[in-house]
Amino acid sequence: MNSTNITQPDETTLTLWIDGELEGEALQGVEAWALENPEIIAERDAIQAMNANIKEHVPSSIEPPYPDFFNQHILRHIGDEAATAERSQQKSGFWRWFATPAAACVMAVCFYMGTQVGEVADSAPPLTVTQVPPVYTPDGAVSANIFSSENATVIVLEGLDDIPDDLEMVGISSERGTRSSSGAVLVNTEMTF
Amino acid sequence: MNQALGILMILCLHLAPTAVSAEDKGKETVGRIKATLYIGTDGDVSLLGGKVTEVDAATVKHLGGIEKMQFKHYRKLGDDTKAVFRSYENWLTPLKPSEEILLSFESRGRSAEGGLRLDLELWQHRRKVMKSDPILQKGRPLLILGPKWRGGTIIIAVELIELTPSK
Repeated sequence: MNSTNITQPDETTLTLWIDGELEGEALQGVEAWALENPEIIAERDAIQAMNANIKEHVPSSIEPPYPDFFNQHILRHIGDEAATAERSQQKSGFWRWFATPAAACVMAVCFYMGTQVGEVADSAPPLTVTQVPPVYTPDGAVSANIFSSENATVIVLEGLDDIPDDLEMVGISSERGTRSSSGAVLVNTEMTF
Repeated sequence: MNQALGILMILCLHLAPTAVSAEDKGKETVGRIKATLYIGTDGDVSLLGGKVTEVDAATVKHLGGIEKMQFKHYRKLGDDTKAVFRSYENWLTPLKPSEEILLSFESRGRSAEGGLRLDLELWQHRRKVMKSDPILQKGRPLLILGPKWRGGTIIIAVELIELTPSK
């Protein structure tokens, strides 16, 4: 085989060959040219070895910790923002369109209240909304069930390791001992979103 | 002498605002929470050892009225109360000096219903086993049914003791 009969492949073809993505006649053509140019074969081998090394040590994708929890936070913040925007919009819309009638109504009510003497009706008790928070367990063997009872929110964890019986588990009560205000670990974790 | 006093006064006037602005608002206390560790068991209470303490009747009634937490006997293992900082993490160590059960927490602000929203993590044997973001209300504890020990089951009660009024 004579190198003068084989034309040098263009840069794109050469890159595809190095990446192992050439087939058929194109592959044969570049292989024939490379036989006459051993330095390019050495370069290809080095690049392929480096790629293999990278693939071995770097994962193709990394899952963020607690993705569900993270998403839940984002959705909650979006919900809060949307609710705030909606409230302010409703408020401004209300005042824009009904400011004058509302002022007239308030004046009329004040006038009426000034002429009447009556008992103040008992106001209805505030509505308490019990939210059940999301619970995540990093260990796949541990499961969590959460429910709301009358006076408490309850999380039941199952699959936890038993605490060894020989371990002493009684602590010094803060009511019996000194007040436990010291020992705080201060780690600033201010939210950035 | 008068000149020296004058210089000192000028220095004080210049340094005072700097000291005030250097205060970290993240360290402000927004409330206090308490973690109490109980153990519920249907077995022999003497197996728990002599250091456990009795639980008051109101707590026994409260715990006994909750599904999954009904046991013949309840005993207290320990408690801890800590400040909740505006933007710093803090830890509850109810079994101090043991670190077998720990709770880390951090404020996420007040809820619309007047509670305190927290990021709360439960650690067992220095391993994180649970993460949640409950809203704690005064008089409404978060109860966690945890690991087993000496034939009983650990119950961790986290409650809001105090919520600093918003400025």
